[in-house]
Amino acid sequence: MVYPRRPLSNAGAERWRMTGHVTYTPEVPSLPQHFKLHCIYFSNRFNVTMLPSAAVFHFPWEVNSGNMQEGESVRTFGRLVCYQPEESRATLSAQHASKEHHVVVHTLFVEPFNPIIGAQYIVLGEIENNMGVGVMVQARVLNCVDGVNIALLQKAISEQRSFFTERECKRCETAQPADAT
Amino acid sequence: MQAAAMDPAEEPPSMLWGLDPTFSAFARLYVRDILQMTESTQVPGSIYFYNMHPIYKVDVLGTVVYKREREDFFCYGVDDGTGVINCMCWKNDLLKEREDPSKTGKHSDGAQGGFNPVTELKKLKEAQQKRCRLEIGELLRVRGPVKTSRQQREIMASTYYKVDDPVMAEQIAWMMEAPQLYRQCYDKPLQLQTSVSGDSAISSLSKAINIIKDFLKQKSVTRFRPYDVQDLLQPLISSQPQTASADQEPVAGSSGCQQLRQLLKEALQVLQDEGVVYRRVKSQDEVYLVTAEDKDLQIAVKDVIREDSKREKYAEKGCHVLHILSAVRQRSSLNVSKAALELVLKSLECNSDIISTMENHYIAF
Repeated sequence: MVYPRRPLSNAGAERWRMTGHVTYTPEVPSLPQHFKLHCIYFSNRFNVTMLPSAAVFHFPWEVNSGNMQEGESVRTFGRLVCYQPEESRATLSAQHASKEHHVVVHTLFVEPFNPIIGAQYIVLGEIENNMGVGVMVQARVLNCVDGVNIALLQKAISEQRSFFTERECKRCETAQPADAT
Repeated sequence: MQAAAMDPAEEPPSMLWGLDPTFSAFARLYVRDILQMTESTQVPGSIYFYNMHPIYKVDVLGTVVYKREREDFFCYGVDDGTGVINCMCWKNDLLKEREDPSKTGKHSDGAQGGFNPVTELKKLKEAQQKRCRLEIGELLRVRGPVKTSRQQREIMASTYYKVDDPVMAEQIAWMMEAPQLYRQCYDKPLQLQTSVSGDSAISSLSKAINIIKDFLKQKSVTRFRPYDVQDLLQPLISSQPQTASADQEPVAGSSGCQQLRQLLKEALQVLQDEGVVYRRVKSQDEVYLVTAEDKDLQIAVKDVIREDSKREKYAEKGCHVLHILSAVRQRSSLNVSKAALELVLKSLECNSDIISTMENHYIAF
């Protein structure tokens, strides 16, 4: 399996010269202003790190549904069906309930990568509502995971979710008796 | 980070933390939980609490989403899908970029064989680099204590390495395992207080056994009858809290006696099974002999083994325990139990009077 080439640390930071305490937003027009990874760098003296927010696993059909918030960090998967290098756009597809679901990925920060059409990929990035295309994922990480057991991965994601909801319910239950006297 | 400090009233005392098995383990919590767990008031900055479990070191598997490198360390931001946390990963000497020109000069006098220390060292350095130097998007495994520095929680990595996971098998296994661990360990409430609620039936029996054993040893008792040791167990019965306090007075006497006799009977049975005591004659008169003090028995066993070892049949292989048992019973008419005999054989072997040739076989020394 060929791994796509890793971007240099902090995706594209090399392109952005930073000095002192100044915040830099890149002048690339396609990027939305709120894009979390405009990496606020402080000088070395402070060493405070601004970590990106956690990318929670979502299914491709959830990403596409339009129910996701702009700027939300997600992690999802799909088979690479097409790649347009001039527009830095890749499309991942997944099957669910006998329907094909597509996720469009903006690959600006993970280029160059070796696109293997038909291979399974994992993408990690922020949701972006693009005028023409619709929902897009601004990728920070794009990994080829061809050979992955998709069914097992879906099961693992569902298992994790049901565990969290179960735990929340338990916590609500233990909190409630205190109020309901 | 909405982490709060622990309520001092609720926090278990630090003396009892070691009783929790998860305290000594690298806890595999979700990063979200690591960031939200409450800080201890007794040891702030180092010890944290998740669901009343004291935690100080954790184990995380996640994607690197942030990287900062300095001369001495890497700082990786690790995202496991529930949260992102900084991991401080110190470099060891091999990773530090120190080009030593003096070393490269000496290689010509290296060993003529296949082993060239300089190239081997280079290979080691490369292997270390591969394992420790990660880029964004790669999978990192980190284990280490959690520290709070500058209001941020970090993991000070004691161990960290890149995980090769081309088909996501590791990540999927981790995701599947985590809820199980939570259900079995972390979400289970912790019982740190030792139960003060009186002795259970099992523990009073073991206490009785120990009391009798100590008594027999101290007084070098050779033989005894049950009533000799009965009074020893009295304190165990009276310390048990009575359930029916109302009608305690008239009933306490008889039930107390019965309990005592029952306890004694059970204790003596266990001692017999262990071989500490045995009964020579099965009669109404319950006389118990203490194995360790029974000189006759020891002499009898020694004689049996010595005589039989001379016979060709047993010379090499040794006498089997059961053979010794039947011989002792026949010749000395000592109705000894197998357990008692085994104790005797053990003590004889410790004294080097006999040797064990095989499992369960003995010959004279």
